[in-house]
Amino acid sequence: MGSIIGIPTTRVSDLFVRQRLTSQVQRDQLELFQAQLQLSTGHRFQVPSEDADAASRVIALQRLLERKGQIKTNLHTGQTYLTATDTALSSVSGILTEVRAAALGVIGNTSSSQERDAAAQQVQRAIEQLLDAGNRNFRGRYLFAGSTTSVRPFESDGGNIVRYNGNESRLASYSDLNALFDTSFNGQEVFGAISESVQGNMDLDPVVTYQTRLADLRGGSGISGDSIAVVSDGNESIIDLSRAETLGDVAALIRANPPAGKQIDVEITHQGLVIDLVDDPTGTLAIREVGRGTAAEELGILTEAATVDPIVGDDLDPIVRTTTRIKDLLGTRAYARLQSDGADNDLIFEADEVGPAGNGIRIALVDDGSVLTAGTDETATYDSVTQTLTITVKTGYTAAVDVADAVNTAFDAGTVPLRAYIDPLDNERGGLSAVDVPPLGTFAGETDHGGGIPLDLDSGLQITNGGTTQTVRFTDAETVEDLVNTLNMADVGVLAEINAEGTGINIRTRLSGTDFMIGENGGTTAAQLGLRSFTAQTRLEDLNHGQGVGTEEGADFTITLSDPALPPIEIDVSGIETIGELLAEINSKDPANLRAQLASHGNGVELVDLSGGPDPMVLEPVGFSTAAYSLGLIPEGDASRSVAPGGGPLVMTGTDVNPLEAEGVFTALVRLKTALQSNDMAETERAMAMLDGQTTSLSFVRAELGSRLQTLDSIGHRLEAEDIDLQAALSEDFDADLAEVISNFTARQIAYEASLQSTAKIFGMTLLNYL
Amino acid sequence: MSLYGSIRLAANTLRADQIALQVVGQNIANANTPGYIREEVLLTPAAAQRKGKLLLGLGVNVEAVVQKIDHFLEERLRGAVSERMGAETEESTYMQLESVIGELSDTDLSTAMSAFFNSMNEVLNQPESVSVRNLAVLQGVTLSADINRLGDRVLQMRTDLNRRVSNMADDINRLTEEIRVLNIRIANTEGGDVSASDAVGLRDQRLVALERLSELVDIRVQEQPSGGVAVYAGGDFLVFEGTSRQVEIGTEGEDGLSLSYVKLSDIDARLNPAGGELAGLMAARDEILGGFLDRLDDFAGNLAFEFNKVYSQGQGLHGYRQLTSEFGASDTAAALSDAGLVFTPTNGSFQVIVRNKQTDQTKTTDITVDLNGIGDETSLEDLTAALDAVEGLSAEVTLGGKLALASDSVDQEFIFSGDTSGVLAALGLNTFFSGSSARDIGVNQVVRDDPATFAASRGGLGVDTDNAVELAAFLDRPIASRNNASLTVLYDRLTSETTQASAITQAAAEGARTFETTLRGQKLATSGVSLDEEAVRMMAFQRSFQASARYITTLSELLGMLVQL
Repeated sequence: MGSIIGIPTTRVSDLFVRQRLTSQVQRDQLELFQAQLQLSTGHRFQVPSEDADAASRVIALQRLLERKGQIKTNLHTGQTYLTATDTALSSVSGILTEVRAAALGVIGNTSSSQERDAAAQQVQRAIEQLLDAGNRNFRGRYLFAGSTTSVRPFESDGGNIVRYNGNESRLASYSDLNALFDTSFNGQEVFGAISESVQGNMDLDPVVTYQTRLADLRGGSGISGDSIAVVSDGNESIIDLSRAETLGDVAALIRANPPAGKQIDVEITHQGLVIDLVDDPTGTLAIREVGRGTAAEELGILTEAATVDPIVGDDLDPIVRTTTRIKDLLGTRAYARLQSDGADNDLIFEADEVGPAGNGIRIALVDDGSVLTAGTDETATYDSVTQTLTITVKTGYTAAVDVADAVNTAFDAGTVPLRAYIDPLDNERGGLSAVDVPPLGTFAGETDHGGGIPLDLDSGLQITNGGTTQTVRFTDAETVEDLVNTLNMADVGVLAEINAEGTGINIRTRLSGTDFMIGENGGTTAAQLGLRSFTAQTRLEDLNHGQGVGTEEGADFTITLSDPALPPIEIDVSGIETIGELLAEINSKDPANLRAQLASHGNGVELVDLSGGPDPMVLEPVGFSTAAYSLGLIPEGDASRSVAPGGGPLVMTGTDVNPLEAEGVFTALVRLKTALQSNDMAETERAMAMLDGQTTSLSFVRAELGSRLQTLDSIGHRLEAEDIDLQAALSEDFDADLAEVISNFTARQIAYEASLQSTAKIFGMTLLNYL
Repeated sequence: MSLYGSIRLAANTLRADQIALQVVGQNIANANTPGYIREEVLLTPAAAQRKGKLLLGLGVNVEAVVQKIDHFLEERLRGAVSERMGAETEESTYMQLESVIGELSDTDLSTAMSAFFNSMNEVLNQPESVSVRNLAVLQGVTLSADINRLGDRVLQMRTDLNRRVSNMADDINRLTEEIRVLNIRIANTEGGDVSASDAVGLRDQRLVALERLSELVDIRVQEQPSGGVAVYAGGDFLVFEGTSRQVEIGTEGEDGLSLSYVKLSDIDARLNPAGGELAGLMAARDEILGGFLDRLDDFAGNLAFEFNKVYSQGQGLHGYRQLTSEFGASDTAAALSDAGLVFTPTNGSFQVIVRNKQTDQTKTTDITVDLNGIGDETSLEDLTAALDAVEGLSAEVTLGGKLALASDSVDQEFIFSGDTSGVLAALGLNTFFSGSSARDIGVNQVVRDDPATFAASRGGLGVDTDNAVELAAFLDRPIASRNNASLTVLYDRLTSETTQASAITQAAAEGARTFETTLRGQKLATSGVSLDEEAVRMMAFQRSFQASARYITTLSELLGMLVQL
């Protein structure tokens, strides 16, 4: 509606009448046209400013509709893939049921070898059909490859081994603005294509360094707080950690923001932080939370009560990452800090390997006049007898970086056992300030804090998988990623990765239908990484694919040592639960002459005859006991086992009887096939049980799939309803009410006509007519 | 008093009636002339003549012909005109801006934005399809082209307005010159205080010129005793009696535009009008369009940088053999947060992964970006050195302070991951959008040339779609640097500010129009010609004339009688 314009009260001039009538006609025409526009577009307004509030709602609704439209597309696409998956899975179920029926038909003593062969052939065909189902490709996507959808997931070597090349992820799409739904299943879920992990049961326990990210601390939980309060003798400094990325940032921030009148020294030990006042033995220090923060506690330095002692932080327990250096694992490297007055001159001397060997090295800075030109003449020498590292310097001229250069040059040449670098917390220009030189006869520092045992990289692992055994060595590995890469790239069909807790490495097999074992290769690599598949903790009942160890009452086997004077040693396995207990039992018999241990190459129990006699060492079963066979000490089919005397102790190494396998459909079928072919009843039953288990888990997968499809359906219906609501809301704000517009139009038309008539009338009236 | 005296009196009356009728005729003639001020004859009884004890009237005297005008009303009207012109200029700019933005239609920016983020969903739906990734890239191209186009159009509007400002000086000068000349002519014609009559026609012309000038700039007018007017704009006079001051166009640079303003030539001072077309044009150019462009630039910059921050965490279907950063640091030795980069990285770190394509072996390296404000900070040179030290990767700073990366052999490629510092997005490495403002936002040529590098994965090359999951939800993701507002909120703010301001300006313009029309009505009530009124007056003077003529006839008869005696 237009504005209301008043009419002057005094007199009316002709020009005024003309102007008012013209503008009225224009206004009427404009409003008529606006009504016409509303009618023709069906919209209440054409530009947002005509109704700003409604327009902003309309814009939001339009966007929501556009996005919900995409969600509908997502649902539709997801449903297509899930339906295709369902089709593939139903064929898998069918095949498994048929195989089960065929196998059941030939189990028992009554079946002939031809019948079993025929059943075995049917199993083989089933394997081929399942391979086909597993490699089902729909619209360019391998349905069961996990999230690597362009990789053909299952690969057969033509024999009994099936390799899975996919991963364990699922693909996801949005089923609403903030809700994801999975659109795929992976081969592991459906076919059980990857084995249980050989869990890295050893915490590799990396040290913290200046560069350790806060997010990696506390087992990956990170630091959630934003600030801490450092209090000293009544003065408080709040330290904002919100921009800190690494532990080094935290240390630098604390150092840079001490309470008034104080100086703070922060050291990053291998465990965590150590915080102390500089040159102030009586000053007290406390570190508290700010408000309800948790940062101080999470950083392990929460100290409510003020103390004069240095605050030693808790172990910050960082996770293992791909970039974690191997030298930072399984122990700590000895180090010493050399602090000089002023900035940019503190040094850290560090051993190259973890372990206590690097402890107790004393560092001497000596100005013996031999350094004429600082920066070039410094030398570093090491006396291994006195464990002293001596660096010649020129007092007041030799900078920290010169000391570091001299030490590192000597280290590279192999003449000194330590490296040196500028303390990153004191590094401002690269260590250009001069170092303090202590009086003659005193040492600048001594290394400490070294501990642990370095990882045995050179020996490596023996991995048996897919019927072959390979040795994987890590000689040149520098980081955890190198370890993982070496394992994944070695052609042994394993999948190595950092475990979910971030404490170590897990290894699993990608191969189905075959045994999988990891053992030592003469060193300690597997044990240190916690990767042995046969350990002291291995339970006897789990051996031989869960068939356990058969024992008889009384002794199960005897060991006759090479010294004929010694009586045979009887071993009773009953009551023993783990390999560790078995080894302890054997070792308790005659420790001077017989030692039992885990094999140093590969896996298995190893017996060492230390008696040094002329006879062979003999191991024999007692009665009908099969324990010695099922422990891998006597090969199947042999009555006993003996080792002829040679030079040194006699060693009898058992085989690895704890093979792992990828517990899944393909393993079950391959095992079933070979068991049928060899008429191995026990193995047939085991394979059938595994198959049953897989059939059950497959039915769970299908149930989940069905429920997912159903959910998508109901979300689809909800979206339809939502769509109608949104359209209604949009229409409410945006669409013209035709009845209203038409009545407005008519009213305006009548007003216009009246206005035209009155105009004509007013112009027609004049006094001149009467003259 | 003699008969001859009476005849002279009657003759005076006849002359007065003729003059009055002429004024009536003038009014009737100009009844439809815009700006015409109706005139009125001021008749006074002629002075009395002593005849013995008697004082006899000498008839009628035509005192003056004056214009019926309310000067105070004229001043207010000019103010209203200035206000209305300023508001209407802003109003029409807003209307144009709204139609350029085109919200509510299917071709607006929000539709392009929805389409772009919908295409991210499609990547999730079909991650294996390179053509779907290509489509996402193309939607990105469309979105950025739409933003460019919007920016260009608004810029074009701004340039047009600037041109109109540039033309304004001539118009003002022409009008002030006209008023100056009219001042002189009016003073000459009216002869100062000598005549009580108004210089008909000239004053009307001057009023029209003053009103026209008030359309351009808001002015204050003071009539001088001589009949001339002084015209002030702001505190400075433009016309004073027979002198006027020239204005000219000055320019100043902003955003690559040469912006015009009007200044007084003699003292080089800017004219800062509060109303009128000039004020409207400058407000429309600088505040409405300039402000919109600033907000659009800010939006485009945020879209590019924040989206890239997420995007640069990811990996495509294959890695890079070589890559050069889009942005360069002006000071390669300074801390990256202070190196003159368009976007500012923060303290953090990222990973660079070098992969051997033959063996699939990867080598991950942590690169720390130390910008914690303490001690030695990471500069572009430090970053380059750290990257160059990565086995299999060469890095160098090129001319223009850009970072160039290349793998050492054809078998090696590199990717990035886990950037918490935003340095990759700030440098323009592994990014989706290029550019930093509405005018230059585009899609990085690397991903345009090879859509397979579209970074949908976070776990390695083509491993998963975790990054696409983040990208598809980016529209609703709170952006920390923008007080946790999401991109949707930022866009809504961009458009709703325009819409609200447009609605307010329309209301203001409508108010100004109403006020002006009311004042104009009042003016016409005083100064406009009413034909009926003139007809009444005409009849009155006609009758008076007839009566006077009759009176003369009577006197003549009396004289005849006297002659016949």
